Amino acid sequence: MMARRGLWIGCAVVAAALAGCTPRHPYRAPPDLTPETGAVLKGSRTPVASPLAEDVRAIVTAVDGQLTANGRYEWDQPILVPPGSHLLQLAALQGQIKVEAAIRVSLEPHQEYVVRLQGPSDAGQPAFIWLEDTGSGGVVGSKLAVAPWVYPQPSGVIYVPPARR
Amino acid sequence: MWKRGIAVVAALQMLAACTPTNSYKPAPDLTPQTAATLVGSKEAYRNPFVKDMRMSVGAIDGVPVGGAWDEPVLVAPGQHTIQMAAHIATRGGGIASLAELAPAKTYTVRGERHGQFHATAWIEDKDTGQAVTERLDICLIDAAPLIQLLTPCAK
Repeated sequence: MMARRGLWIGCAVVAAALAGCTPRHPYRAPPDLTPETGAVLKGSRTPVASPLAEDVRAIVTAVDGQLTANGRYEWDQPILVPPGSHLLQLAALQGQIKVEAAIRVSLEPHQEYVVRLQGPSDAGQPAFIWLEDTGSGGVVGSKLAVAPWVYPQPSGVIYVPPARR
Repeated sequence: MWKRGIAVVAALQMLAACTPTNSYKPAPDLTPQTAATLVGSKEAYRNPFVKDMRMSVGAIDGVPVGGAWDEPVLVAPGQHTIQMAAHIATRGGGIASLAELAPAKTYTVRGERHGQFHATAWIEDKDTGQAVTERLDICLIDAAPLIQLLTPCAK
């Protein structure tokens, strides 16, 4: 009897932990949207010369506050969005280094857009993240200057000092 | 004696490595009257088992801001990319947003926690309470590697 109670408690703890992991409002494209009628958002992957470092993956993490399913392993999954004004959250990941920024942009139907990241050009310089129109190669909205930071350590969130970039 | 000296030097080197070398420094001629002031906030919860969430200014135009979460930061008026940071015990995250800042105004970085791994962040005018950025989702990432693995937004 005690063992069964323990099992139930264990199941409840696991269920609670999994519920905490579920995104709040997952983004879902309207079912009637196609690449012809909607805008397509894509991630990008920039190879890094060092064999010890991960490639840089730039992705769309949220559309109008609704989280996408894209992460560093789904960076190449296209996201269909209805044309018009949208608030996009763009992120770039490399190992445990992350940058994330939000921008409101106007998207055109039957257009493809890709998230780009430009790393710091020099010590002390910021990184830039932006959305690019793949047709024209132009910047949509503006490039956002961001400071890369490392995933929280026991001492807190650490911004990457330029010497370590 | 020399062992203690080595330990002190090692500790200083470790601390120096953690300090951003390019911390944001406001222009010397800026005053609270000519500049916009940004300040963090603390969201306290009634539940004693839920840790307080501290919101702070992480970076301005890509330059990290040092100092405590409640330390006011002077910024030249105009449009800037403000990186907001959230900290709850061993969890943290951040997001940047464009914001138009007016002189002689104080803006607060605000946050609202949603469950274990998400928070919403925005910047508001301290006097009017009006938001000057949109409410943005922050993924809260834990320092513990196992919890990081379980966090979908950290993948």
